Amino acid sequence: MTGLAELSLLDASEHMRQGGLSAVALVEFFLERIDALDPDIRAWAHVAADSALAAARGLDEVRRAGTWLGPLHGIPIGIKDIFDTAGIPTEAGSALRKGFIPTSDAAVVATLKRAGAIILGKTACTELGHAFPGPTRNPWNFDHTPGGSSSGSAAALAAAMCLGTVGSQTMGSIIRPAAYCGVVGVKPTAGRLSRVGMVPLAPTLDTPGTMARSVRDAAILLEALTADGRDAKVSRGAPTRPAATVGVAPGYFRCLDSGTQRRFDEAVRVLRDQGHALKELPLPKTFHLVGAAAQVIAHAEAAALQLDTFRERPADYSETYRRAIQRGLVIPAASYVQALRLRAAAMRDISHAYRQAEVEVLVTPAALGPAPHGLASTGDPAFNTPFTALGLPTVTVPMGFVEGLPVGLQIVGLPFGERVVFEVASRYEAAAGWARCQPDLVATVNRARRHGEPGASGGSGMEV
Amino acid sequence: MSASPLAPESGHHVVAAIAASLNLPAIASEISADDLREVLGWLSAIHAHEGQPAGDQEVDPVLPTEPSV
Repeated sequence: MTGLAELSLLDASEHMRQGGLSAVALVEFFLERIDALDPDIRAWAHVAADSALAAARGLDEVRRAGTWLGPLHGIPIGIKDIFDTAGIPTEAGSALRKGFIPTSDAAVVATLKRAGAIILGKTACTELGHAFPGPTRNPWNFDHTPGGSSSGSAAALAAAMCLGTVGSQTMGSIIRPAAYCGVVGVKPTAGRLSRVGMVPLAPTLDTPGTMARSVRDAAILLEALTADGRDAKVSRGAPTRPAATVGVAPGYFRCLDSGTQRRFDEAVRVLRDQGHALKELPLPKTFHLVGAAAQVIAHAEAAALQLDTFRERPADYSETYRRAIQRGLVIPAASYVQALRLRAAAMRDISHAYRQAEVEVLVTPAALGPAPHGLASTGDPAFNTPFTALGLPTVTVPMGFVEGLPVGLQIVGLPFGERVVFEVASRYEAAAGWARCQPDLVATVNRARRHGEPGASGGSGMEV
Repeated sequence: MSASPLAPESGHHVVAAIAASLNLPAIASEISADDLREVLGWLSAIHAHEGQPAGDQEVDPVLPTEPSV
């Protein structure tokens, strides 16, 4: 069997179904790995070792008794710490929620549990899913941000500390960290997944999603989460039809460093070589404004949500969040409504543009470049925000490296078009091969320890 | 409605009045001119769209840079 750290979610599932691997063994492996690595990476806000092992024992018994719940049976998953988990702290990176232990699960957590997944713990995130960074470092280089707000969800996967994670995106909070950490991120169509039990930032933009180390694994997670919803079936990535027509928007996604631009140009060539027809997709004028509309919507909604709590406990907010509330408070109600109207117009216009250009997906770089240096910021979501505001499904898949750091290819479909997005992502992933790369954590940890960085001495018995 | 309904020099008075009504005078008085200008930039962009025929607006691209969410 391949080393457990290199095992995919689906491969682990197959081994388990055939009896060659137990859920207990898998959970124990990841707990040991977290113990060794997380003092340096800090991807986890809470590790639920006892409940994960108890769940694993129960799921192994169920399997031995002849019941198989599906591909997530016995699979350890990390949950972003803004989703409620019964009996496990849910602090959302905020002093406001310190010590809070929910009594019920968020809808996505409950669905995963029903599918047999094991909640290994809660992954660290920025303050309330906004901009103030958490403690997480990028597994590819500890001096760089992992991105945010789903920082720990991406970093835990890059360091192979679990087999899949759940995150959420309000502007670029899944796609950007996934790209920065070299994993696959999925921001589904707005409304596909339930937000019940999720700490809100801006409810009309907040979107739960999945991350994994391959397109297939991320699709399996999404399929499990949508199993009881409408338009439930999403492709697991295996192409079932001719290669989709791919749109590019030259001249718009231009705030790039030259290295990322080269990687993107190479990715487009790979897509062409895989049989995808390439067409130019002229973006409608409303698309260029929807980012501003998203800012108005996000700030107004965040301020409205936090107003009462802020009045009571102002010291429990970071200066970054405090400024966001200030901005939200000065937005006139009429402007908020105009922003919603603009977003609706842009949704209509982008669908029309896809049809006019006869393209099925749009491809762009997932971010302006690789993960920025430093941990004070989680990077810029400029290439993600418009698609989140438009509610379009997006996937990022690794497209190589720039100065030793991963960069991602963003693939954008039309509403509820996850199937074609996964198919394009899967074809690219198989042809390019970047998803098989993993960070050299021994070298990264040793380098950090030589420099005496905080946390770098906390790990024990590095076996990665 | 003008493209910039809150002029920067008068913005603090407006903000203070809004915040006072919400019992939040402290936060209002501390908003920076830079933050206010950024908000005004967003409002100007969406006001440029409002009132024009759909799909027929001549505007400059606006890419957000904050917050990083």
